[in-house]
Amino acid sequence: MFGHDVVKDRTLIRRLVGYMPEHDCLPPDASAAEFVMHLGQLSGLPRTAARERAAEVLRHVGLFEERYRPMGTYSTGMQQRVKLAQALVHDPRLLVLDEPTNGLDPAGRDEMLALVRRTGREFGISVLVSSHLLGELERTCTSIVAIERGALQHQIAVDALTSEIPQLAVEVDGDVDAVINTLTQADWRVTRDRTGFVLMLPAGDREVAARAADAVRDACVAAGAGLLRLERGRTRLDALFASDAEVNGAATELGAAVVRTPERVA
Amino acid sequence: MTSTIHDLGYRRYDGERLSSRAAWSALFTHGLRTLFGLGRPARSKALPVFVLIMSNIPAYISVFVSSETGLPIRHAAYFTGVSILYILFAAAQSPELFSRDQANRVLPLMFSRDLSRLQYASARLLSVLVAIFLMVLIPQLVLLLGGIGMAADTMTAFQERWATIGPILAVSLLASALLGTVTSAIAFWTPRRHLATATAVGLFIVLGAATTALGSTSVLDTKTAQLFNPIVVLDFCNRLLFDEPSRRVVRTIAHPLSVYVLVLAAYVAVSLGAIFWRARTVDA
Repeated sequence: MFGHDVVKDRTLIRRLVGYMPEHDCLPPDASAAEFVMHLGQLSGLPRTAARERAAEVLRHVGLFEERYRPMGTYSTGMQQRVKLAQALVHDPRLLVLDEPTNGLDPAGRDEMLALVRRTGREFGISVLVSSHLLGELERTCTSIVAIERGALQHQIAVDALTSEIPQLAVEVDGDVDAVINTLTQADWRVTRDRTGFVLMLPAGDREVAARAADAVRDACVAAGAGLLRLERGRTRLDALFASDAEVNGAATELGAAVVRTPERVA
Repeated sequence: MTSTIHDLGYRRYDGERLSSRAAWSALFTHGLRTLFGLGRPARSKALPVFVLIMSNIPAYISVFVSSETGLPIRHAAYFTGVSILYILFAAAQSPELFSRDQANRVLPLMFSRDLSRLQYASARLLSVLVAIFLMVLIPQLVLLLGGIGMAADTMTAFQERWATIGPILAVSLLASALLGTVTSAIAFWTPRRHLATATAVGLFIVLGAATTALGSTSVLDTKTAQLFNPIVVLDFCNRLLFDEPSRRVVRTIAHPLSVYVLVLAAYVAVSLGAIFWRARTVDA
């Protein structure tokens, strides 16, 4: 890891990693300033440096005067930020976040994600997020890794995953079978799905897609059906994981984890 | 609380990074402060302050009476007289570290840093030991220094009595070793703080009652039965170490000091085993 032996250089690696657990881990009667400073010291920072770093990372996550209050009085959002701050206090190179948006309202969720994104992109810290909210991962992360029992199973870039695929998703209001029939006769490959049907394109380029769209339009006109939706297909992470879970069958827990690796670290 | 996360940038830290020894001593210092309620809300200070005051009052009275009447100051019976306060302090404060860390689930945060499990347990344990050591030591020092200060001829008094510092340090060490390790072991195995305190206090009461019960039957004679009660054993250690003529005969000392120290060492060894076993297996 970062060119160090995991077993031999344990101490060194612990300095390079910041960990934010999913569960509550804040003593209710300590203040955030004191708690984060103490953990900074436990990471090997000298006392004064730990105090400065604590103030700095708490400000970074958006805690100001509140940091002197006992943490028992904090809202969930503030507690999540303290948890992030304590993972950042010793300036790690890799941040491991376990469900960072747990218990947050939608606004808090967006802010936390923005913070996570910035931490990764601008500060040169790689972030490994574990989450069951795949939509969030899709928005935040650059690649997906699936880790099972300590071994890396898959690693795929999010962009590659969610890019366009040669399909047209169609939804019509009216006689669906008639429309499909017309299209099949015109040699388009069509499969039904829950809401409508999907037209498989023989190639991914724009011209083919445009011809297919025209064909769908004409078929709808012919069948007297209304066209509700016509869009190019995109993979979504949850769809991917659904199919993955089928493939793996008995796979235990398929952790959805995501790494962002800024160039200089990679 | 505003609901905005402010972007004030992030600065790298490229200052000094100390060894894991420094992390260890930071944990030790923090633990010691916590045990006395320093840097914590007022209600956390209540018990240590109460014990500190209550365990010192007799010492001041003793010094005052001695200076008025000229009676000699006695150290030997002091520990036993206030021992219930020390038991209370140890039973209540060890869980403040060992149980609280588990209840608040901060162990994963510590174990993911520069601290090994062994270092965690040893730093926490040493905080407890030092705290109890100080608690036992302070009133004894009051007796010693008070007696010296109140004497008509301070220099002579100093020369006569200063040697008592040896036994004072020894009994403080024995008391803190016993109370500290036993209560820490219980607290480490009992994540619920109040339960840990109750168990520790209960253990000392049960040991005392068991000793009396065993001694009154024909299973064991009293001398042997007394070996099971660590507080009585500590009392014997005090009396043997200070070697003062007793004004009233309480219990007859049946064994040499080494036997009593060995008994205490057995309690400490079992507790240490329990502590370090727990350190290796506790869920983080």
